[in-house]
Amino acid sequence: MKKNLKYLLLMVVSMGMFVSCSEEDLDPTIQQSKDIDISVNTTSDLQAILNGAYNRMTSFEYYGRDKIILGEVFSDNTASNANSNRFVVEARMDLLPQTATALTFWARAYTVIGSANIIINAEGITGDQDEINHIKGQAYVMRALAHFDLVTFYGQQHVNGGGQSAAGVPYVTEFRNEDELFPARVSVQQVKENAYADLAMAQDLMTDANTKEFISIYAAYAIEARIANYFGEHPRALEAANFVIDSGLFTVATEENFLASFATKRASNSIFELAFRDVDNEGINGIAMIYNQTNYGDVIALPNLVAIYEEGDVRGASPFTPGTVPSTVIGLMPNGTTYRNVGKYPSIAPYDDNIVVVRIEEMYLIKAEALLGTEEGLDALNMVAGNRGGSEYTEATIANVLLERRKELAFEGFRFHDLARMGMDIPFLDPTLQTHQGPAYGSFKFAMPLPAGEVDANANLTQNAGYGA
Amino acid sequence: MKKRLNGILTLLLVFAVQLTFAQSLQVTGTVTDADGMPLPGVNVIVRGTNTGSTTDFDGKYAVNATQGQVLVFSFVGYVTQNVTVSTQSVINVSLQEDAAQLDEVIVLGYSTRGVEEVTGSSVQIGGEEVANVPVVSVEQALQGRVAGLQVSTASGTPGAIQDIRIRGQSSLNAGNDPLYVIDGVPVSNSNVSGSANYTSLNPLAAINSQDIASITVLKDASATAAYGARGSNGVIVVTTKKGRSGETQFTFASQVGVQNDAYMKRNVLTGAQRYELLSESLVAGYGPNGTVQQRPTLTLENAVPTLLPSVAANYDGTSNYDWSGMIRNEDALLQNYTVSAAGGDDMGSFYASLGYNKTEATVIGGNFERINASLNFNRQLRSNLNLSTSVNVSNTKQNPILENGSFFSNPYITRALMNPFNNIFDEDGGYDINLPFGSLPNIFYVMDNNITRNSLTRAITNTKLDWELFDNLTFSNRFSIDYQLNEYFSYRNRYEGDAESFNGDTSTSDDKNYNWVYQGSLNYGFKVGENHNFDLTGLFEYQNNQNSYLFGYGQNFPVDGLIQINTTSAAFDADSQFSDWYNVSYLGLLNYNFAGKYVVDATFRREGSSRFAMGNRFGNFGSVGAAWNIHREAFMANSPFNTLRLRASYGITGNNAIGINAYQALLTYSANYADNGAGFPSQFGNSDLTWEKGETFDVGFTFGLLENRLTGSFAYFNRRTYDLLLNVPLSRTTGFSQQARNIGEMTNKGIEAELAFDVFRTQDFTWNVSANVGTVENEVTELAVGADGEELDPNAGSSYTSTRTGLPANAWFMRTWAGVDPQTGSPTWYVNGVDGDVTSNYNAAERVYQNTSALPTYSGGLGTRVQFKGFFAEADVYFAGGHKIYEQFAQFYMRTNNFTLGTYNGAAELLERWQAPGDITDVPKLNYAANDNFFNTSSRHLFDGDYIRLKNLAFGYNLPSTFAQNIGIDGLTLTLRGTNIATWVKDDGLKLDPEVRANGFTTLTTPPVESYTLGINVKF
Repeated sequence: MKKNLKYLLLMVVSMGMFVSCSEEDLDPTIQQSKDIDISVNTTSDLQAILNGAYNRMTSFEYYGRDKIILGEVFSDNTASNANSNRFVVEARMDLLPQTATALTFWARAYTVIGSANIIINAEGITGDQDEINHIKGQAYVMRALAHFDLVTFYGQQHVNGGGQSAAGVPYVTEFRNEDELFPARVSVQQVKENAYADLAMAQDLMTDANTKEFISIYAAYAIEARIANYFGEHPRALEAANFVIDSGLFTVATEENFLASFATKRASNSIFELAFRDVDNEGINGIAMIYNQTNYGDVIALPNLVAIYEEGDVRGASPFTPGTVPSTVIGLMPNGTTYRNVGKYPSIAPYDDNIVVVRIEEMYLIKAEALLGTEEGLDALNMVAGNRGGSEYTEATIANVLLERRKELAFEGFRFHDLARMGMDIPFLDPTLQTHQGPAYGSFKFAMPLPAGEVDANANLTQNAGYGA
Repeated sequence: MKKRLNGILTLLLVFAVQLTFAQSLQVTGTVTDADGMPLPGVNVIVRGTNTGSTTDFDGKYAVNATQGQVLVFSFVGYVTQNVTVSTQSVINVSLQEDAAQLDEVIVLGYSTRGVEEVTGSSVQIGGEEVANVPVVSVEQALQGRVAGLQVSTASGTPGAIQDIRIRGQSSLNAGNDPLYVIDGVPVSNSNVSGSANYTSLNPLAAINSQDIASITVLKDASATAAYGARGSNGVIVVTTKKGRSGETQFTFASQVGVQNDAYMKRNVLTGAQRYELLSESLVAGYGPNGTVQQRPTLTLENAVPTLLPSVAANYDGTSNYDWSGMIRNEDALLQNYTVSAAGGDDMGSFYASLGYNKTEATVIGGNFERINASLNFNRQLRSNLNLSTSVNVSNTKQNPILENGSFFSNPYITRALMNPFNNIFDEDGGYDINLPFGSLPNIFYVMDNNITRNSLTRAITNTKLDWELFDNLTFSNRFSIDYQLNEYFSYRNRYEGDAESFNGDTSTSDDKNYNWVYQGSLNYGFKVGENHNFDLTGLFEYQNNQNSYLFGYGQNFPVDGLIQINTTSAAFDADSQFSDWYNVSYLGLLNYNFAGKYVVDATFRREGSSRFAMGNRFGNFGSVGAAWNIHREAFMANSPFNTLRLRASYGITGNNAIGINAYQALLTYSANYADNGAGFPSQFGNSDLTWEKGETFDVGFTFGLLENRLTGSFAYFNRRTYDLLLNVPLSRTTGFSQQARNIGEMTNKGIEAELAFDVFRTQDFTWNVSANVGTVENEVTELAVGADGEELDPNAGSSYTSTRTGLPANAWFMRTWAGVDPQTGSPTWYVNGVDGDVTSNYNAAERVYQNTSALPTYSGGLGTRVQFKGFFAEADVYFAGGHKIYEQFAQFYMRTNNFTLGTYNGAAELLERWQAPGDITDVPKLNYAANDNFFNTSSRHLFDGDYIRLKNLAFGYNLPSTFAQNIGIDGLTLTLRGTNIATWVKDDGLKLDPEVRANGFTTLTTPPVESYTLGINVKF
């Protein structure tokens, strides 16, 4: 019996070691992440979140591919050959609310906005105030740009004569505010004005530096110029474009180095570009994959696009053998019939070409568009045309500016927006390759559907016209 | 063998020493039960020695003993009988059922009880039944054997995880998989495959079915409440084989067979058929009345050469290249060999086994190979101290295939979508890797040259020390370690397939999962007076799981023949991660019965989990149950019932199967930008997050009539899950898609019935039939509400399903197909989703409830066994229905335009297309240049899921023991077995196997297999 008592004692002690478990003892280890509420304190914390926002912009769902490709396949520049079933419905302009692209682009852009809002609303950050302001300035530009990109695809300004009073997109300025989880759409005009205000704030906060892989004060003006140009506010566009041009920090790429500028980091014509390193491996979702002749190369150039270039224009077409260095932007594939973009975003292995968001040539073309019919406008137009191996223009007409924009910015996602903002139908010139069959201006297809997952979750939103109740 | 061994032993040891003392003789005899039926497996031991034997299939035994020694006959559930050896050499024994043990026992994980002591709903399956089924993973053997348990084959690739649902779906977003308990310890059984895109690898596949003594499925709260926060989805308790006293018994078991797809009727267009349809679709788009262009000269004959010269240049219009046939691995070989030994004496026993399994998939490339060794050892260290320990170590190698999605290198994409104009071979007879059409790689080259491998090493040890402090007061300590190491390796070649454009790549990852459990418990069983029997258990359990992951990647090989990362030169990538979770529990179990007539039991568990926020980590769970063994009442003495019991239980269990850090609002730093680290918000978080709770009421009865020849049971259950762990959709404008919250409620109710009848029960001839059926009706009763006060659909954005109150969870919710317009050939859908007006504008049709969900509302099994002398035959049927399944990849191969006819390939069903006004068909007209949304989500591709399947048909022969012993063995059984050999499907439209994963979508995975195996079981 004595022995048994000894056992009992031993047992009580051994169990006691384990029994004293409290809530704290159950804290899980956390090594890859940090708690949001207690982890934004210093400039390096802010910088890391800013880097995260840039990283999200590089995603294939946004500037890494889709933002650019959608602007191309909704147009007369390119088509999808359904190689890997990518951009098939997009090239038909036949999107449904449940089409993945409608959701992923929307969601990705708002994650950039979310990251920007953490930075913008951060208080009590320790560190150099100029540095903090510069980081915040970049976040303001991102917020403006992302909302603008959203409104160009989801806003109703081009549908059924909508105009700027039509529904835009929600303009989100707070992160994780539990009272504002279901924002409503604001008007297109409101989006525009909020974007202008954010850019003005950025221009105010930012220090002067020409950092191409990060948003600079020049990028803040360049993006303002783009937005103003989109809405036809030419004086504002001109003023902002001139701020960039007149800085003298950026030079138009010459005919000789035009192709190289797409394979060079921080080229002299670049104002803001997204940095890609070989570790940013988007793999089969990379933009180079979708344009190149691979199993995943779904997006091909239309012969109709090739036809707009003069002989000798570096942006035109020439026969191309995969694996070699292209001599023009467009390559004629060895099969003798297929044209592809081979000059822009050329690198496949590894995928480390930076993706230019805004470059100086666009500023000159915006300037030309603001100064139609003038000598200064013509000079600006020929700053681009004169450096590409083709002939120069004799007059700065809107037709010439649009033609030059199409030539210069082909494959970079501008064409659909140029057609839309000019109130033009989508040209239908190639019955076998073009599958959208040319929607007329005002068609509901000029806006993408709001994603089904968004409309179902957020009762404060109304679906775009033409996409069901 | 035994005889010879015995002879030698006897000669050398026993005889030599004992001859001088007494006369040794061989005692033989038959052990029967009270009804005179032979009892196989009874231990016969000469008391105080290591000598002993077990009875064979005919209840016969033989043992050497000397006069005056005592033979001990023992068998679970029967009263042990001692017989002193005198001069007689034949001792026949009849064992009485042990009333104190209340018959057969049920292993409940933390406790083991007699069947008449339990108040909950559980079903136990013997090891034989599990071992007989030729599958690599034990849970597959449960299909059709347990009312209310549904098994669906998510993939037929060996080693893949199967979906198991017990009494339906209890949770919307937290896991619905049951908890697995092996030898009393909850284990982690999540997918360990190195890539989610490839075939999953189930850690349970590391366990050899032949090593299993029993599996118990716990269904209601009384049975599962002991598992507290993890019991809501039911518990599957696996018990491994232990040794038994007696002479060492060797067993060799083998199964060898061949497998093929069980049900696969979805055919694709041949080259010639596709050419015909292509011509027709081109004319529709560009011919004289074309919708896009009007070319007066375009005809069916010249359409292809005119518009698609590259097709004409590379395909003759008639050749047939059978891609979909060639990806089959016909008569895939299955082999399983196990050799085991079990034995012991009064002081201890052991079971040891060595097993080898090699199973090919029915598709090229998906092989499975396992070697495992186990040892269960049990020893009485002191009169009051008992040690048992088990070690089970195995290595499982699996070549997973890229089947979890529409990947180019998924062989089933080739089967469904490869352009049949492509020749498989080039002019030299090798695989052509420059296919002229489409972008799918030549899968045969890819499978031959790529390497994908999971190699899982799993070691489980489980040690238990029982210490009887006082009479009937036992202090037990159990410590178990479960270590899983999966090495994943992937090499992709430079020339063809996904890594072609960057000159090949390779990756390796190590996933290490270390899980340990400590259990300390006190058990006290005592009687008060004559009739009050108490059994009390208090238990403390602590579980910790640590997972670490290491990954490396590189691409661009300089030359052929290299596969490792250090031979690559670009895009290097590396990753390491660590995560852990903790679980701590205090458990109390009470079981009381009055004279075996009235049973009451109660369970209480307080459990803490690291998955929830501070302040919400601990929860209380428990159950109460009662049973009345009516047949033990005096007034039943003359009734025809041998068994009649009523039982009922009520309890609360939980579910914590959500992400490890789901409650935290997180910034994750796994990104980078411009050579600098980057952080991004990764989780919305919820500081109030806690358990999901399940409240279950269960009532039932069990009966046995006519000497228990007719037995049956019936149960009704009603389970309400509340505070659902729900991923409430957020507006994406927040930067997040969802937030985990405890909100919502769902009920599952149904009945379960089992019936078995021994039609004949004689010495030479037995015939038994049995049936079980379970129903479950699922209904969502509460959900979160959105900005407008209306409920939020957790499936927001889906075009297939919706979750709404009043409907089953994940109800099919889509546009309703209204057929092809006979006049225009266009597809139509009902505008209001039900009837009346139809439209060809897909967007204009409303999505409606399709009257069911993906989960079967009924399922069950039928079985029969016949035995005549040594011959036996058995058959089992599994059925399920009341649900619908969606053919997900119809979205590809049912397109009526250039997608199927220009780029890929279409289903043979496209041949039934509409061609002229008046045609009545379900496939619209073809047009190369049009999109009619026929392929898009609608009830056109939703089929009734009801099916009946002959799961098992076997014939076998048991060699009579007398004959067996003449050839030096104890027993021999030969079995010829077929599985899944016939399938009846209710819906003619369903061309794919009706067994799909629990979400109801058909996939491009290996379908369930039909197999024929020859099993040999030798005991010696």
